[in-house]
Amino acid sequence: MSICFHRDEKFRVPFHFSNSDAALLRFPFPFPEDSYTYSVNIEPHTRGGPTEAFSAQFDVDEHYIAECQDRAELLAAEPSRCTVLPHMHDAEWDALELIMSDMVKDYPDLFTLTRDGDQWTWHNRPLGLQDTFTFGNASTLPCGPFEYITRQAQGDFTLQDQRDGNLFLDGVTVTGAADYSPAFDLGMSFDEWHGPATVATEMGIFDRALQYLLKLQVGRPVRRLNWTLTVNPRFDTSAENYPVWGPDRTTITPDNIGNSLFLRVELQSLYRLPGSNAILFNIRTYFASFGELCRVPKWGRRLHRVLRDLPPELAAYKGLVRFLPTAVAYLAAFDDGSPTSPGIAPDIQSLRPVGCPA
Amino acid sequence: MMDTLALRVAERDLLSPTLLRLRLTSANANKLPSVTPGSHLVLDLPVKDGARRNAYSITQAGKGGTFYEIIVRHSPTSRGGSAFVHKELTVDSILNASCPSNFLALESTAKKILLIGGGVGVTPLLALARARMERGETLEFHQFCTPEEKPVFESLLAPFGQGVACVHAGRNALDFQTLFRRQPLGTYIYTCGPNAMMERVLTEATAMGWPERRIHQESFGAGGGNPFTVTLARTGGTIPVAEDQTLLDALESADVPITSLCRGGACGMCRTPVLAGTPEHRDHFLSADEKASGRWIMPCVSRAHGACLTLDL
Amino acid sequence: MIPSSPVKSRPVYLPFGISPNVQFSLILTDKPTLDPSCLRSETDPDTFDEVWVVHGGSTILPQQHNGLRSFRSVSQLTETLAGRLAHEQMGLRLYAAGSEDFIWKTARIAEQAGLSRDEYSLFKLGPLTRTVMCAHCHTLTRNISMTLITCDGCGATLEVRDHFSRLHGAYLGVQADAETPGILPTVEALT
Repeated sequence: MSICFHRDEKFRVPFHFSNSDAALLRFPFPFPEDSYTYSVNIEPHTRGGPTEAFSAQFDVDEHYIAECQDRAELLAAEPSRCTVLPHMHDAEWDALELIMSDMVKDYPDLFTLTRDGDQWTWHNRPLGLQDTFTFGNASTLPCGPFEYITRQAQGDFTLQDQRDGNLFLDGVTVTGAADYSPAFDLGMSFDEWHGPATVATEMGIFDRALQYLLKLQVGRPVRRLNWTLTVNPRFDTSAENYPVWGPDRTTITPDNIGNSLFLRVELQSLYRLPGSNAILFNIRTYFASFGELCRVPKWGRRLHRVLRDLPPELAAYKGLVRFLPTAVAYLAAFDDGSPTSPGIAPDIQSLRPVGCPA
Repeated sequence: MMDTLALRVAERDLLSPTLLRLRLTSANANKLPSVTPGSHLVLDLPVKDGARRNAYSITQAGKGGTFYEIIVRHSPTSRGGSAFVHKELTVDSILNASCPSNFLALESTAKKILLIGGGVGVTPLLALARARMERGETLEFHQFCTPEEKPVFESLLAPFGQGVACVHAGRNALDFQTLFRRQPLGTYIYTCGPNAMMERVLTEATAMGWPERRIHQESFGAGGGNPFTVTLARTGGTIPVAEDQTLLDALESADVPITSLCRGGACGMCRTPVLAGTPEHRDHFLSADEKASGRWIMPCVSRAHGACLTLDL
Repeated sequence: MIPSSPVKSRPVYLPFGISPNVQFSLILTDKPTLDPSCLRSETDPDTFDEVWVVHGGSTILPQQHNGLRSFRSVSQLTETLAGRLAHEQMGLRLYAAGSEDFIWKTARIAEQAGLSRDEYSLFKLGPLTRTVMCAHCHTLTRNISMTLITCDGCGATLEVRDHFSRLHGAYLGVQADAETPGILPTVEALT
């Protein structure tokens, strides 16, 4: 498999982003049915699923180089976006080993790892990196092991320590926070960092999810999908920069919505780490504009129905209130009322060229 | 459903007339999965009257996935599993096992761990103690055994050193109150052995103000239980659920269509109506009231009290 | 009594009673005397093994009389606490009553010493004020009693949330007019 990387993408002003037809067809569309509510939608993270985005443990796609570049720029400006508490040092190396091993397994043509005892050589072809280091000795890497490897993988990463029957958010590389502050949430227990999600808390979602995750086993990762809507393809919608991106929410009009409003999907996967017993959490974020999504007839229809019937408290929590009516009106044109098949698969093999009428 | 491993017996070493140490390697030269200290694996033992699945703690795992070591006690009341291991397994025997699981992992912020083992319950504690020692972290290890086995356990605990590890012959050879009173803040207890011993540890420590969450007891998870039979009211079939099998696995093996997702009692997808029999609830999905009503079951984790259950399937 | 919040990170403070089976109980306060409102009605303050208070004054000596120990300042108390906990045994329970800054500072010292959340209890005394951490510049602004404040660091007008960090001992503050500059919600007293 060869990936044609988009090198000139920009996830901040001036935005520049698009999905190829292939990228769109592999998009992890998050709605298996025509309505949405919170649920503990966790399943085993096996290789393979309804679209190609589920084929690898840590998915690499055409946006890989641009996303790594975006992370590097943000970490240069705000180094605290990567912070690991001192008792998580074993977990950092654990995470590095797991991510490297899985990337090599899934993308042997892109990444190579050579181990000679504790002397490891990592070769990352897309980013043009080659480093030899001593496993377990952080001074042999240009930065901490967790930062090193998470600069080279897509999506945010957190490390959860397990103790006293709870999980604690004790390490983060978060440059794409969906409206939260990782610096503020650091060190919180599972129920605390989900505190602002009051609707799901009241439904008992987090109690159940915690009990499940406490029993997560090495070698049996799990995944779930989460979603929101973001104006412009901007990863950094952190609480820190809310004054920077917040005004975008008032800019959506019927004319620009197709290009400016994005369905933001998080393919979240969780891994028990074999040395430290910590849990590695990858929040792998995908963007597709409303215009792009509606090229897949099933997804356009379903997105219309989901947003039209979205419970108001959910719309408020996700910050969609300002543009939701515009979004529903836009999508209505793509919903002919015909039934949709269960599940998230696009149900088509190729897309009609842009501009052709349905 | 579970990933299975093919293992080869690489070494067998009779530590005492009843304790056998096995070193297991991959049967097909693959790297064995990494494991956290405190993990166990479930061996498929092809005994004469069928298959037996027994859980054994991994006492040591080779770096880079080269081997697992377990210690198996030949128990006089064995239903065949441990007798099979002792009598039938030889070097180069091939066995199937489930991928290791861990319900007794170390806590990263523990200032000290206090290990209390009884008999063959020493096995997971050996792995925990070794990991702590390798990291230069504080531990204290007390092992109970019969007077005859004292030398065997003393040699197993010798690597941890005198003053750190101590073997006691007889259950009254150590005063728990004195032991628990002198433990520094931030100590966790890890205990494995006869239920009565683990209960005593829990009772005496909590009576001295230890929080329950500071006391970890070995449990091999709640996957299995007594076998039972499930009757399908709509389709009319009867399906046996074996002691080491989940109800969901049994239904799937019999091609009963059932929706499931997490397979861990959390998501609620496999919720199934119960028409007769009493479910033994092990899930986190049903509310207390729903559980008490007995009208629903989560087949991925829950089982039956009694011999039969009738489902609306 | 603090009203319950749907935000689970917001702490709920309940009056203390000494849990059964405890081997040693130590209660701390940043006030000159122990305010009985931090105790359950049936709890006698004399049943704590030691009571540490902040008396104030540079001539106070850290002597102990019948389990009562006085300190010159919060800093002197917390410094002594860290040293003391390093030599304590399991079975101890720690109780702290005082300002939210004080009680969460003692909680962090307790956790560093190895206590779990099951082994210490906190109770907030005094006015309904909060310490607020600015989401945008991470500056702490103290003694906040209204729902809208000006950040001491970046000057943003922050809306005070119920989301609380034990690590920072602070509530989250987020710019109130980030989406529509200049348009602010009405100010209310914090509850």
